[in-house]
Amino acid sequence: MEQFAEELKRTLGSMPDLIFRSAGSSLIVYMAGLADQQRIEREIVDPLTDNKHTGPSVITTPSVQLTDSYQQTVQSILSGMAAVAMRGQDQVLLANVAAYPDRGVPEPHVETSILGPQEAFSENLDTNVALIRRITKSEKLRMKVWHYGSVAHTEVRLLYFDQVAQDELVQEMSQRLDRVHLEDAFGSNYIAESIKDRPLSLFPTVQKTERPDVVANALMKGKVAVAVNNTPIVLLFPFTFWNAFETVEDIYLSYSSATFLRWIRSVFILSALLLPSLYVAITTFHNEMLPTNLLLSIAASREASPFPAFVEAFIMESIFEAMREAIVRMPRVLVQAVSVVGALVIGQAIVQAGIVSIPMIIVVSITGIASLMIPHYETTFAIRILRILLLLMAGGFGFFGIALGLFFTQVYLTGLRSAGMPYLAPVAPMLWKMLKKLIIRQPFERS
Amino acid sequence: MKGLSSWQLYSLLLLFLLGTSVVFGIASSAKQDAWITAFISTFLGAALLWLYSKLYASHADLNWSGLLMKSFGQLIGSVLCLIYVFIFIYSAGRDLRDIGELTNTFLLPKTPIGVTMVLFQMLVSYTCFAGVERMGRLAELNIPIVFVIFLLEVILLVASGTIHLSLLTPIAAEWKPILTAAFPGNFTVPYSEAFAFAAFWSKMKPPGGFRKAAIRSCATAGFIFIVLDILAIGSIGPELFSRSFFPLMTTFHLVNIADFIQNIDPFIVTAFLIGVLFKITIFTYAACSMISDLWKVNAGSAVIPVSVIVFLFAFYMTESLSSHLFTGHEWAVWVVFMPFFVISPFLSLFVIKLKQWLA
Repeated sequence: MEQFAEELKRTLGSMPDLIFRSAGSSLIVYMAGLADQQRIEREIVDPLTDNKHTGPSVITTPSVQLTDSYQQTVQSILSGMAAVAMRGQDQVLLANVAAYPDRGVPEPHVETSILGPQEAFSENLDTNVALIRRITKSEKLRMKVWHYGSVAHTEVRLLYFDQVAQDELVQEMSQRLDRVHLEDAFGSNYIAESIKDRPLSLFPTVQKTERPDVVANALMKGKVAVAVNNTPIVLLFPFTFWNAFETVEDIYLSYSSATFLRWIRSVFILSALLLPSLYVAITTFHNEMLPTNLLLSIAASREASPFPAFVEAFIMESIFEAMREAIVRMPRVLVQAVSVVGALVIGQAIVQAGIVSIPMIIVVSITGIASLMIPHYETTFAIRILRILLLLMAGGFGFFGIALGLFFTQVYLTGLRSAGMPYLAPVAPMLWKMLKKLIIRQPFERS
Repeated sequence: MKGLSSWQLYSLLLLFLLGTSVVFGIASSAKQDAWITAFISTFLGAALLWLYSKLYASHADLNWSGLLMKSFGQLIGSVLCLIYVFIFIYSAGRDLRDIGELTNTFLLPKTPIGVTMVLFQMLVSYTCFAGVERMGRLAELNIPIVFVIFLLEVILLVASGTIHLSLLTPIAAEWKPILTAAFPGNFTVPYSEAFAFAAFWSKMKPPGGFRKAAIRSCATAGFIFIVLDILAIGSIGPELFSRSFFPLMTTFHLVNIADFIQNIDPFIVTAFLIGVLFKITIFTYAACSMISDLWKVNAGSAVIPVSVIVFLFAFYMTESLSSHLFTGHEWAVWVVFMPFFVISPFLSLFVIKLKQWLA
């Protein structure tokens, strides 16, 4: 027993949070902060000191196991269990009294909803899975487990519904997870980049969500989820292009409002992609398309600006992207400062100084608002980068350039897949049943 | 082999048929009776496509190169294959030139025609690399857009109040121009051009499905042509309609709604690019798959050389738009379309049937 304590001290070092405690004739070892001290007191120490005869049976912790592997003991102590060594026994008893520090069930910050449930995943994998289980309550929920990293042993679980998710999909994802070799896996993006289709593509081929209801809903529809320990983001496969137009809110609103919002969203996502390039193309190449009055007022306000519309658009787009990034990165208390700088200094002064014309500011603002409407965060990057590329094409070749850019994108997208699903399904290839659900949020069936 | 769905093949064929024809107007030489011509040639076209599908059904596993070998022997077949490669490249070049001229006239007057054509052919090459299955997906992605734009065009023209149906009279005063415009004119372009699909049809769909999709797309294309012809003649009158290079563009120039939506031709031209893209792509891909059958190479490896030749053809083909159109109407019809897209499939079918009957 003493030898065991010495050995542990050598392996882990005499750390202040490594606690040795003797009770009766036994020695209890655990990590302060990872293990619940009150439970140790109540379930292990008290019975051991009170009882005459000591043995594994007196310990009241629900989950205990005996082991003679030293390595496993060390790992278990590091993951919050208490190791109980008893005099005269070569086996060590491991009692699961783990109580990690975590932040409970937080509120969603990325995918907010007005009428839906207000809970999100946290960093604790067990809590996350429990949240999904609580919603689905199904005996069909299956999990496969992987561990990555020789140091961190990050746990990764593949969740799916037996007989609901297609076997090929589950097998495909299992194989991909088998093939992953990561030295460390901090966060789900390590896993996502290793298992998603075409990791270098501009377009996301995996859905990342922080909402248990989204995951539960997707699982019941036959998708598979990958949950990674220490990350509040769960990965969903497959993810198709049009999924980016659906929000969580859709199922919590009445069907007419949800459909209305979905259409508005589609229109604005399209303008987030096209508006600046259309403006540049029309003002530079196809002036005749504008009605005379509008043409005159645009020409009048553009008179002061020395730059071609294309350069103006570029300046404003860059400023907007910079402000957006600044707001995300900076401390929350300073947000006010940026809005003052953004609205007054840039919005007003840049026009008065005659650097950028007012119509351009309007166009970029509408585009900015529109790109904030995209419900799926990673798709916004695809749209924003494509917007810049289309702007280049429009600056060079007007409508012809825009059409060419869009065609190239379309051809590219027809070749993308996400976990076997064509990226543009259900439009191309056409799957009418799914397409109906995409265009109109179908009313729930009445019973 | 997965092939295409009926809807994909239908979309692909329809976009191909609409292609350049919507730009240059259908049967404009028949003046106010162009729509009757469009009506008649739809039936002729459907009959031709039905014949193609018969040819396909005779050997469902063979493309046109295989059928040529089968009916004319190895040596003559190979030579004919080479000629077809040339024909497809020439047709692609013609359409590329069309789009170059169109862009030059309506979108980018100051950009050299070579630049726009190179850019467009790059897009075509990329689409050819993607292969048949992705082309099918691209087609069904674009077909709703085309339908919406077609509806929009009709609504805009009707709402502008430019249409006077009296311009359509006298109806069928003379039958000769109507019939000559239908045959060979409208019959060869676009319907006989659909023979390009023969170069790789076994990759797409079995004969039965091919026939259905072909007849349906032919009917839809015919309907669209008739409507557009009536709109165009009703708006600009038979004289201007038959003399204009781009009668439909002239028509859409008249659109004016509340002095706000006007001069929408750049938008319309951009929409036309969709059909033309498919047309050039199918021709280029047809040439590539003939080459791949002939020399047993991957169709993808032929894309770049074929595209370069297509571009060179398009660039050096003609000096002006009018000579380009003259060649198309008077010369290409008799030298290219009739013998290679109509007569030789007939002959081939005849030979194959004869061999089957003799055997």
